[in-house]
Amino acid sequence: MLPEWAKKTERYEPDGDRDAFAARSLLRVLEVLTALRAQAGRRQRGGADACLALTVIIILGIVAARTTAFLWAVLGGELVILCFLPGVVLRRRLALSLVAAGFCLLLILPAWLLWGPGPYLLLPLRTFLTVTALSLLQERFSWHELTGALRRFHVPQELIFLLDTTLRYLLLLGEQASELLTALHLRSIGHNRHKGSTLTSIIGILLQRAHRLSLTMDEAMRCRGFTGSYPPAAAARSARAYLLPAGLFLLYGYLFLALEGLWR
Amino acid sequence: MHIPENYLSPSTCAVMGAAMLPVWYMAVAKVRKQVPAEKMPLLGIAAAFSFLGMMFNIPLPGGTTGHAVGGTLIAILFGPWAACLAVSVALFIQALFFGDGGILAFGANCFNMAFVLPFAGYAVYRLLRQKLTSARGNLIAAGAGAYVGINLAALCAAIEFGVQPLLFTDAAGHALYCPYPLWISVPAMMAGHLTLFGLAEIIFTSGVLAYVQRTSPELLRADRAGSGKSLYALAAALIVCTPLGLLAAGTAWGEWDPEELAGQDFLGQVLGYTPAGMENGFSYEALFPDYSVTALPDAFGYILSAVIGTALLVIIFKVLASFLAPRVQEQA
Repeated sequence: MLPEWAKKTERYEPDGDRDAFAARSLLRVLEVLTALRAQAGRRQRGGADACLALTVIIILGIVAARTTAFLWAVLGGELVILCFLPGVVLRRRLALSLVAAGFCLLLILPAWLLWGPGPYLLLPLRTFLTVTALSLLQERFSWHELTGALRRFHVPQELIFLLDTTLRYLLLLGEQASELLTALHLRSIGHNRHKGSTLTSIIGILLQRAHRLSLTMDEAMRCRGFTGSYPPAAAARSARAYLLPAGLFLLYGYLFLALEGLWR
Repeated sequence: MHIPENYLSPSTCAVMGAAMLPVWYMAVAKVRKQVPAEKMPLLGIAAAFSFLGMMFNIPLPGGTTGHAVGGTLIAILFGPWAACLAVSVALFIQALFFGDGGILAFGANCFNMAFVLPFAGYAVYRLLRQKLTSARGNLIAAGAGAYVGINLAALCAAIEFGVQPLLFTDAAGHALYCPYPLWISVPAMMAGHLTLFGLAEIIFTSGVLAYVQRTSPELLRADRAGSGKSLYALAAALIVCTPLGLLAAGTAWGEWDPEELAGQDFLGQVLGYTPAGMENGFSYEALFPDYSVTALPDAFGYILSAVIGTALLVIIFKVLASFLAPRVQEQA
């Protein structure tokens, strides 16, 4: 015989709590984690140092160019490389560059409206080209390869260590943040009035764990005999890896000098 | 055959644009249904072929020029609806970035080159294919389809030009837009297309089709995509050769700007006036007018324009494919 209270039909309808903050934070964290994990299993392609140098030089060219002709030449090259990416990746990379260029356009809009057209109208194009160049570099090489390539350019070891550790910790702490946010999401039934303190608590927990992880990492590094020095990344075994960057360097170097009137 | 800005009245442009709306709607629906998502990037390459084909100007005695379109070729490879979409996108890129064809006349240009041309060409091709079943017969049918397609498209453009002075005149009886009536525009347009430009379309269509038959026969099957590497190689070769299009110095018939029109001894000077609609009409400054880039030599500017146009077309169709079948793309 069931008790009377068990026979009643229960209709529990929780308050319409606005938990978009947790869902959005979780999504963003998962997005970053997916990007980091995607880099983990990537095969070593070689030539990261040459491509990094080429990208830096092209970005300097984009920033320094006074005429549009060089910018169009860079756009042509970037579009051709984009053509070889799979559709979904291409869409993501393109969206990133377009959002950056759109934001830049928004920033220069007041100047445009007040003073009319001027050289600053090229800023969105420069932004698009710069972000796309970096995006293509990141798509081709893992962050691990890129930090390795930095050492070949005599970047201080402390800086590389900081960069490398940050990237590793992003993954570790990101995973923990996603677990905490999922737990919060699952346990938040009904109306949560203390969203602000909940979020700061999560960040506090992450800070504590980060401290603990850093101590563990320091001990692990001592045990493995890490002296704090990064050996330069080995040069690519085949010269083929350098052929394309070298060719592009010569082409764009000549174009920059010729189009900017520096080659007589 | 690209109708420039202000040659057609705004109302004609609106009617032609409205006529194309249901066609585009049907084309998108049919492509989504018929073309496998993995074949979509190749459709971008095919659109790029059309784009590149239109950059090779062929001179005609008398100072005008013309070009192949390649709409029938795309229709044979991917079906007429896909060809309609591909040529429309190619025309849009040409109008927006390179000022080739008017922005207002976009609907009319699409009607001629993206609708009439591929559908007529494909219909003739299918008809002849029933009798000509061999590989050689395939090329002959494709050539005949291409010839009929480009000539029907040119006839439509000529009629659109020719009805303007009959419909739109000012108080003095002067034409407001294109000043040449049907009895001038039809023979002028058709003379070139029935001879040299038609021949160019036959060579372009049959040549590329023969190359595809030999190097990537899987592309001719509706259900398989193939890698399309040979098509990419052919597109690269065409890009390098595009400066050949600069050898033809003149402008195509009906594509003159008002100053050029006034300078034509057998047309503008005889006419004695510049139509008001053309002089004070809508004007749009393209980024790379006539496929040239400021401060770059003509040949290099032409190649850079071809690279940017081709890459944009491939990117557009790849992005479209990623929306159509995200799962397939992720696996790729």
